[in-house]
Amino acid sequence: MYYADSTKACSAVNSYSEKQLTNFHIFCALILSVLCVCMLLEFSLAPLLGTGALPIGPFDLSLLPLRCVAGFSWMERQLHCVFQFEGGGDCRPIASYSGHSDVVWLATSIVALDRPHCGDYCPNPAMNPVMKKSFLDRHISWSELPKELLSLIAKRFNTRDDIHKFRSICKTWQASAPLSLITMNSILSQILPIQFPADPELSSTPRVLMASSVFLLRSATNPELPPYLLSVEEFTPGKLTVRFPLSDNVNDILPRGFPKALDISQFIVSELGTFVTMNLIDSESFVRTKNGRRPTNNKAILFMDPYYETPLSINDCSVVEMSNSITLYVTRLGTMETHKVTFKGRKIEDIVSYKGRIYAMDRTGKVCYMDYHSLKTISVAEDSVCAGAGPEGRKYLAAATDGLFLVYRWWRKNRPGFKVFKLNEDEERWDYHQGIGDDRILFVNWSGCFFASPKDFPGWRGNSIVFPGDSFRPYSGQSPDHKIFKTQNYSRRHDVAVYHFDSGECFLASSNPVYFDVVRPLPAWLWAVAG
Amino acid sequence: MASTSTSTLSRKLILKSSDGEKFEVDENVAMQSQTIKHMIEDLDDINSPIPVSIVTGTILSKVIEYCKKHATEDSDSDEQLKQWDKEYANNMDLNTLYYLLLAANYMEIKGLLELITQCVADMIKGKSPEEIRAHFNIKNDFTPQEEANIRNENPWAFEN
Repeated sequence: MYYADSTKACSAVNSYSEKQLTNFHIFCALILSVLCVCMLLEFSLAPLLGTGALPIGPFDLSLLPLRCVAGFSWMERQLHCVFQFEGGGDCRPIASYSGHSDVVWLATSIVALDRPHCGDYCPNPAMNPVMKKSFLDRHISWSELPKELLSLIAKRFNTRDDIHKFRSICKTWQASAPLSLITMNSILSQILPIQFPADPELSSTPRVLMASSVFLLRSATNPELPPYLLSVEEFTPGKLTVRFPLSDNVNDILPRGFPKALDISQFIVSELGTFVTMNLIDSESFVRTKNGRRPTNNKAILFMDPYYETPLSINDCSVVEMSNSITLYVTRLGTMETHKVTFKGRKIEDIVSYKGRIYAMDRTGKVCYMDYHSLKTISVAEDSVCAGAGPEGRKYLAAATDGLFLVYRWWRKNRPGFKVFKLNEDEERWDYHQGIGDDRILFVNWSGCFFASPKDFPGWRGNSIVFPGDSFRPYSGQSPDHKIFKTQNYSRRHDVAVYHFDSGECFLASSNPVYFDVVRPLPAWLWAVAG
Repeated sequence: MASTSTSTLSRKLILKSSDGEKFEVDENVAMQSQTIKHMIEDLDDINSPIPVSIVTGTILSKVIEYCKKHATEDSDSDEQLKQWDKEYANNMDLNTLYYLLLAANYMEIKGLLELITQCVADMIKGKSPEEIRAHFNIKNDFTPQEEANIRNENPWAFEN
């Protein structure tokens, strides 16, 4: 009736020291098997789950649908033989063997008691069907996973927030991801900021490549509160600087009472988009130079080797910068070596990282891509969707999971509208689309466009575009957008506007509280919740 | 089991799962596992089944599926292989992933271990701690005081 799998235990192999199990260890395992079985012999025994074997390592026996359990496990570098009665709480080692710490992984064999004759045990019939299920049906707790494997998972994270979240799940997970993983990291990026020396061609002063992100914050405690779209950048590692919503400009008019630190655990945080910004710095003081900051042509994209091996290292990353000329500058961050890339002598209008490549487009919609290693530009579509001159607005590329979009503003009889195209790579052309779909909202941001789901924005409509003033400046002439933004001078106005494809409506977010609550300059609830 | 690689005259090995299921595989498939590689070196009789003691047949078949894909020398580009990996991992339920992770670790299959840990890490991203606990069936075993301490580990500091 019983099933004590000592042979399997003996046939287990060593996974670390690459040595074979020695006779001595087999002997010890046998002794423990026998010891264990002897203790159980007075009970009627049944095989567990038909397999007799469970994974090595510490596991929570209390989760097994067993009334009484014994087995071997390899815990804290010791071999334990454990024994447990149902409801008895902790597993109690009845024997342990400390062999060579690195010698052996033993298969765990489990012996289950069908009916223990001990105490005033009352069988629980509800448990029986569970026992018939295979081990794959058992609802496993991932806190049982060996720490070394949890550590491997934790090391896959690139940001401090993810590591912190991992640590906050349970004690085992916390112990598997040391605090040092958090404190050694910047908040937004594992590898940024990075300083660039002055370059005769690109910049006369040193520059810093920093990370920026757009987050959607929701109160974790009060679901009634509207979400908030927070744009931040990280110039000093470990410190964020708040930007105006959907802007590259630092918010220098923070409301009074805005805290020096925000307890982020009070929020549900979603990162909607991650970007990089190249910022000039003063060569003496290494302070950001305010006026030389981010001329609009120096859009930069972090380009990662699509086949990098985690954890991400600086050697797997390059930065692609647009310039005033026809040249794209690609700098390998590991070596700081810069390559010049051109696309048939065309002036690049926008660049985006998509499917592990960089896609670049000129102002008429001709588009090419380059691979990480070759950096050779390959034409994707020679299809001009527009003239690229006159009153047409600036064009943006926006990468979605289902394709690459081209979006630009156009005005017909001064009525605002947008044109949207989706790249058809097979036919090498842009396909015109009426909108972007009811299940998404497109946010236009100079650092990079991103999509979000209307589900995360209560009261907002899908198939719409949210864009800051001046983002669709025409190639010549004045932008009719001044009628919407009610200004020609966008430098002090940080409004964003919303356009609905379905209705053709275009309005300022500040004219509608449902929108304004989300994109206004810093609502006080943020720090009332987590000051 | 049919061989997916006809170009090499590979020896066949028999792997035996913890529940006694036997799998015949090409040697180069099995050699993806460092553990098995070392076992083979010490094996006297190549025809005797190699016990993969802690891995059940259900899981072992999945492991072999992965190893076969990565052992073949056909013309799959890196990108296609990545795509295959992604679909392979996405088709697993959570329990299978759990046992695959243990199996990949035990069998020392580096690529599979990386694939599964990345897949699990991706599941964690974008979820709140409560959602993570529910998803992975984990009990919050922190005291309120411990939770408060953890919260303070990672504030967002501002320098505007």
